[in-house]
Amino acid sequence: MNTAVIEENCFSCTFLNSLGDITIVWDEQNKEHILEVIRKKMSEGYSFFTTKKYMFGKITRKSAITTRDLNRGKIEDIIITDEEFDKMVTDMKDEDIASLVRNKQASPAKIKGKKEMTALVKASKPEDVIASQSVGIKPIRGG
Amino acid sequence: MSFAQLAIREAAINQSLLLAPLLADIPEEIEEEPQLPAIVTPPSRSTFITSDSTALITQSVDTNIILPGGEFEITSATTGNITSSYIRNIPTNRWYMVQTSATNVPTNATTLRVMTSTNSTATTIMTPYFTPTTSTTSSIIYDGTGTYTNICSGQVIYTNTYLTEVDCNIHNPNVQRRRDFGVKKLIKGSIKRALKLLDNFGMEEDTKIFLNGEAIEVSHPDSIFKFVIHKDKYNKVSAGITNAIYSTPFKLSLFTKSNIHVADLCVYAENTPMLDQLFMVAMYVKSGNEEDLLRKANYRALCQDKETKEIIVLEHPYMKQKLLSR
Repeated sequence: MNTAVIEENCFSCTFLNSLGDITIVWDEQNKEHILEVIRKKMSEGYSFFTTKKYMFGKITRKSAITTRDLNRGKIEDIIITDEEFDKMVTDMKDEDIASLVRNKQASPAKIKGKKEMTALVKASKPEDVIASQSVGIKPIRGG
Repeated sequence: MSFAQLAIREAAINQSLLLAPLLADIPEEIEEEPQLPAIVTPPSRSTFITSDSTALITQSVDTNIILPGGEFEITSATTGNITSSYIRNIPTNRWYMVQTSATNVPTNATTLRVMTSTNSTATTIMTPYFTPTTSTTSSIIYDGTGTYTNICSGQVIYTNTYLTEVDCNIHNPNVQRRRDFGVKKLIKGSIKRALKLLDNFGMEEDTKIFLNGEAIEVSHPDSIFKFVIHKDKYNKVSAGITNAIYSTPFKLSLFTKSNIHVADLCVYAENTPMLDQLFMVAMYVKSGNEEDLLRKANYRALCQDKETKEIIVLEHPYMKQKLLSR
């Protein structure tokens, strides 16, 4: 499996949800859409922890790979069938995130490589989240 | 300063513990009851669909009622002296229980009918039970029309009807088996994903220890606390995947770094599987945000030593109410 290249202006967030976790990545062009979603999540009580850049592999639909991508060597190393992709989006169980993926404003991804948890810093505003790699957690409650 | 004070306090406690057996009767050992597995009942939604003063059998036909899960039509038809009432348009993948109260029958009997989306005959349960003068059967039509028939001849006035959605697994074993397979796959996938996440953030060894049933400790270098996390045999790894949970799916205890037990904590994230909850706790603590957890958590099995609690509260005033109010 080829190692994915870190793209300079690519950011990500890993959301913990009922099925485990889902990571999405986005670029500069779609920052505003993501900002809107992050702002909404924060207002709902979500916490976001930002970290330094790390490696990740984008998950791409098999049908989305073009000859041009092949020629230019821009093949993502996680390619799945359209059916698997659609099921993944359905399983997200978070309409905000699923909507970003469906509208191609964000792509699902997988984290690769190890990180230190001590490197995480809690974000105080949405702008911190969209310009970094982060982990989003649902609101915590006393049980 | 807190570290030193806590260490002094710990020494004092240890000394008093050494002397205690000589000075007092040894208390009986209280056997801790085993923690029962969480029993989570899927929430049922009941909707009252007719008014107190309206008898169902005299309700105007083609009445449409909007309920969670779809639109239901209530109609009625009379054959002989038996009136049947119909609830139409029940979604075929949902199960409902119809509860109807009736007057003018012996002691206000209540009938319960479980409605299914198959051709099986519904079961009628009546409380209090009485022998009807006329018996009838009720059946369910597969195309989404539910039928229930009153089982008494003569005039019967139905006053209240409730339609309650129930978990279909209770009633259809075939559906249960199909669902079980899908659920197992879901649980396996979720656990696999969580293990990968924990591994990516350097918690592979801790996770192995945790899953083996041993306690792990999570702490921040600048904190006086450590969080001890322990999964006992009653905690299921699948907790939070297919069922909602309303408490921490493992045992979470707060200790000082000098090993004084402060309290057991209960704090959780909604709709989040157990291993992801473990990740969540570790992330809050290791990133230096344990205060968020401590503010939100409910505290149980508090430390009984007041001086220890007062020392802690000096450093963490937000814990005052939770530690000192009781």
